[in-house]
Amino acid sequence: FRLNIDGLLVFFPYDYIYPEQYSYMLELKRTLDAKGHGVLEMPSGTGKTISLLSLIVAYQRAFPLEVTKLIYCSRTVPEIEKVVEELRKLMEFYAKETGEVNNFLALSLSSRKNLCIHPEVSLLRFGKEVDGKCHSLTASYIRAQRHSNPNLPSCRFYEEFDAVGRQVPLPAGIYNLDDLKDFGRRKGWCPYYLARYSILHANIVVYSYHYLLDPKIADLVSKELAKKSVVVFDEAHNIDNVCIDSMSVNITRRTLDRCQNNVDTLQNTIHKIKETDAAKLREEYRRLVEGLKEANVARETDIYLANPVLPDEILLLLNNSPFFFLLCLSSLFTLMVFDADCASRFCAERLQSLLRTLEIADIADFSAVTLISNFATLVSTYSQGFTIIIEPFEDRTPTIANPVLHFSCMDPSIAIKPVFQRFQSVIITSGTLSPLDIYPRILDFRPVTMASFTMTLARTCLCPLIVGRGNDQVALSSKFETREDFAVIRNYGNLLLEMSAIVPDGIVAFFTSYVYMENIVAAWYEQGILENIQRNKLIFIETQDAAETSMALEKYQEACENGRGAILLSVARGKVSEGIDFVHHFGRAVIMFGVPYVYTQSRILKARLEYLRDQFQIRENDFLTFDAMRHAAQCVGRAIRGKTDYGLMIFADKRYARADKRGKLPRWIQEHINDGSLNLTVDEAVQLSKHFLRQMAQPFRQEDQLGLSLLTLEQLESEEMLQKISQMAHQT
Amino acid sequence: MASLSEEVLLVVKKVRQRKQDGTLYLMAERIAWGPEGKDRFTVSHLYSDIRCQKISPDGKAKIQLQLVLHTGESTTFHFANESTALKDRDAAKELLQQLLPKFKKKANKELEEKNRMLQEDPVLFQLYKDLVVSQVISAEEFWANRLGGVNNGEPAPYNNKQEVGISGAFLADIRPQTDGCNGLKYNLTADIIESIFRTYPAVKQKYSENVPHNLTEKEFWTRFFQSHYFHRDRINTSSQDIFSECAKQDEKGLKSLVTQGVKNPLVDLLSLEDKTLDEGYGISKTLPSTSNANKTVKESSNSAIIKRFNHHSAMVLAAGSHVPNDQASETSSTDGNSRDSDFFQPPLKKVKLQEAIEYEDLQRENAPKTVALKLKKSDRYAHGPVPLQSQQYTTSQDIINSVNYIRQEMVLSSTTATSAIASLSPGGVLMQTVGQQSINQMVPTDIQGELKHLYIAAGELLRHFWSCFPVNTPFLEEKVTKMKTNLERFQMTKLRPFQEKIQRQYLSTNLTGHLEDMFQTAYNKFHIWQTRRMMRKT
Repeated sequence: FRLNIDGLLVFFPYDYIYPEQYSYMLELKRTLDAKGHGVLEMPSGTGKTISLLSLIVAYQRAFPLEVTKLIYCSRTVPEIEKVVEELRKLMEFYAKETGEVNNFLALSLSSRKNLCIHPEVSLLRFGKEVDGKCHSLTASYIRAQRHSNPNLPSCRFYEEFDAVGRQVPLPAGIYNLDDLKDFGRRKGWCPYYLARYSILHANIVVYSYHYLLDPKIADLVSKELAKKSVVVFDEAHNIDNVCIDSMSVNITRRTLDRCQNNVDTLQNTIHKIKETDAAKLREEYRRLVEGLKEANVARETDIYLANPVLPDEILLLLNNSPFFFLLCLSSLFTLMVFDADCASRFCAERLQSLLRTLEIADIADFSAVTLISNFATLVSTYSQGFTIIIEPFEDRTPTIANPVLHFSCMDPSIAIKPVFQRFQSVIITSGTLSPLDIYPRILDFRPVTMASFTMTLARTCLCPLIVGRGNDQVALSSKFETREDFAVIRNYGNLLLEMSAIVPDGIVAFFTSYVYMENIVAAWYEQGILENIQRNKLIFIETQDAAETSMALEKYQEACENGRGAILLSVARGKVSEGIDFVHHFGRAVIMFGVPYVYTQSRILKARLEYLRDQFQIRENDFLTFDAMRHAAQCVGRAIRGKTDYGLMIFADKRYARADKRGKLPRWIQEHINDGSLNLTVDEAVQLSKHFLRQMAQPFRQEDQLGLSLLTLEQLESEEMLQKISQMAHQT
Repeated sequence: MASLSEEVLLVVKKVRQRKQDGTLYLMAERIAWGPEGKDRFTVSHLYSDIRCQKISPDGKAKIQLQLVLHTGESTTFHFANESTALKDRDAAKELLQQLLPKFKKKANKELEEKNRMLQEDPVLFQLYKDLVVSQVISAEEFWANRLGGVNNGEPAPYNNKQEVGISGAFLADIRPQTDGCNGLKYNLTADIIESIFRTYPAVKQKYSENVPHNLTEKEFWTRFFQSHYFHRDRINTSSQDIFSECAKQDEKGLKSLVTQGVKNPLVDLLSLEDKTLDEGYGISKTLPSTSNANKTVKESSNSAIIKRFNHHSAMVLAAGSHVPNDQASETSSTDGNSRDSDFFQPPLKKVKLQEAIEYEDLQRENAPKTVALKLKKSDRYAHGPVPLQSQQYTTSQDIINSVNYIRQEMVLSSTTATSAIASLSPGGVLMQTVGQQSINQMVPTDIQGELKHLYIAAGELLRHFWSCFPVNTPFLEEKVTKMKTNLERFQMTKLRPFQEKIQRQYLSTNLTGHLEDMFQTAYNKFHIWQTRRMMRKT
């Protein structure tokens, strides 16, 4: 139906609305009005995405000059596709309601691996291979060579796109990845390049974080996106880690060896070319100087998204030989040059240019030297926010020398800063962003709105329980001292066993780390606990191999589906905990064994904690707890994906009862933890769970929700309800 | 009685039965006993009649073997040969143990099934009494028709029982017990063995390869429990272990499962990330240690356990849903052939995505979800059956011939049709009773009941008879002749006495008129068929 959000007409493609969706849109509208940034938390399953899309699309239609583009960033490919499908639903609704065909262009962008339609290239399994192969078919000099030698292989889709694709803009519509492929096949155009080209004039772009945050990719893809865009980071609870990952480099001896090989090849090629074609090298040098100048000009006129790698202050004279680069590299091999040699600042761009000049087709082969040059660039660009840690050996094998050089970014704001600076509104949102105030601090920006919305519920469909003791009163905890304690492990096993007997269908259990899980599983096996659990449910376990885990996951779902019931043992911070939802019967209970602290002994982490303390005045412990709790909340939140869903959330560690831990859980979980469920024994937890499950198993109809957690338009417009909603929102 | 063609599997002398010395014979299909010095068997049981065998406890003075029959009777044999009694008995027992299950399955199932059907259906039971007990038709004939329908599984919701899955913990159920002298005792039941075989086909294969020619059953299972295969932390399976191959096969199976990939894109962790960081970038999460070699033994055994659990659960799951799996793959493979079927089924990915973004409570009316129509050939659905090809009639003679032919083919000629209509109209022959006095006032209830039974029985026979048409196989020819004689016999033995009875009671013979008509129609049909056949032969 149509909504009035603070004077803005919003089309909402459903017949009912949750009160929190309304508040969320209000808050979002305020953020857009102020042209500022916002941090918004709303539980998953309350229709965050559709609220975001409805409001921003309405805003775009109402003020086409204020907001020209929506850039929606999500984390995983399925998430991206889901967003596009929701958008399609919204647009269909628009078309139905207004009767006119709107000229919105929305599309998703993904890596070549997901978009390639070339019959051979698309069969390759790894993204890197696809990229390399694609490059070897479509790079500009390859195509130039083909003019003289038409027998060279080519990609007809790219050629076709290059010939005609750019002249005709992509017709308006919603394009998911598969739609792009279909379109590409029909037209004979390369979907990947088509999408990359089309995002410039699209109204809505949906892609993954990396296209905006990773300077290596952002530079290629996103730098020309309009300033007046709204950027949304969905599922942003881990955004700082993404930022850090994109700016950090590790160098091992193997990398160096391969790099050496690369350089040798390069040198040979250069020698060869020198003999035959000195002019080309000169041209390359000229391009270098020109390019830098251009970059400077572009930044001043503010056409481009600033590449964080090119700092604003300087553009310098450079050595006049392309060999400076090689010299720089060879000096790097001795691991000595970390000083701010201004020449090495532009290593990465130089290498690109050099590779282009030397007509080296398969970039994949040169990943090592690319890595080193990126490293050199980073090293020489930033004097702050980074650290270098050299570990002479692995922790486990102190006798074998295996030096690793970590060049690690400690300040996530470095990578995201250009985004905040360039775009007028950046929305950071997720189901779990608590405590809200920490994100602006670690990302170093000033939001105009910060809000956390809870889930209004007609029935309490989540049941958080903190199990602190075993039946024998042994304190349950995964803390280091009691980690190997037999009694704790046994009691954990007992908890799982008892739960497996009373919870229907699926149970997901998370451990704090992979090693911990392995040890516990082995201990449970020896104690015969697993055998007993098998009487109730099948057991599946996450492994470090993604393919194996996928298989286990599918079988797990199959077992839940056919009624046998299953248990999935998994790891917090693992892929399952981040990307897989356990809706309805796929997850009726989540058990979090222990508090998922990061491995605190790592030197990188220590350095980062120190940095946070010095720069942002965030205490080490606060950060560690925050980090642990957001992961715990993520894990536990996997089971509740909507108001019709229900599930138990069992925190099996007595430390959760403490206020400093509990207080960092999202509000929508916290408010259902009552004092009575703070320090339960296993038996008590079982009793409470039984009661809860029995209650939840009763039929739950739409009428039960109406007026409470589900509103019709009339209800929404009533004075009373509006007051209630604003009251709820003000609690935050 | 002792037919020579029978294969004698085992002969045990000096076996007493009812205090009489004699010899016990175990043959291919039955067990028999004959008293000494006589060449005939006084006791003979088909294996299929035997429900179970019992033996006397080891300590007892008398060494006996008892056979319990399905009927409840039992026969006891006493092995009296002092020196070898125990051995004899055990030999007999072993052999019986192997033989009985083979017969048991078939015989039992059928018998039980028949019994159940008769008990559940009183009409059928009455029919059985009328037709089989009074020997109008044989039991086999009676059942041939019914069980056929049941076994073909068409209109029989029962019988097609759901296969019972396997308990996930069946291995846990084999609790080893110490036997007091430094050994372990495992109790295996047939169910557990079945479970093991179904979950681990590799073990079954080993079993069939090695038992009984290389190993006895007992040895096989002993080795099984000793092997690392059974113990989940198997790391170093020695090469002598016959199960090391199984382990390898399992590994292969697991690998092939993994490489098959997953169908649901939402759980495919491999394609989850859009852009993984290149090697070397990012905060290293304790680099996936390339040094597998220096993993401790404990660690690798731990991960072996985890692998085993995943595999075990997958296998149990697969064993439980074997049948539907097969069907699914079958249909999908056929679907792959016809392109138009794909049209009706949105691809799995789309469905899953739609499911994921749906908020069922936000929508007003949740129309009941419908299943997409699966069509192999959509055009056939749209157009209906294809019309017959039009025939080219060249001459008028052709037309006349074909009209005649059609007339012959038709069951009813126009005259019979009108007569049928007439007799069914008020005042017609068949409507007489209805019009004046209803039958239940005129006829005593016992006669009514009898008549009802007659109708049912006659109907059954006629059904058999008519089901033979069109007669196109020699078997049917034979059957139709037999059915005709059956009908005649029924008329003689059942219908006539009944008619005489009602005549004696001065009731209208019209009661059986319709029955007679039905018989007459059948006879007519038979005669027509017979004359035609004769004509064709000559």
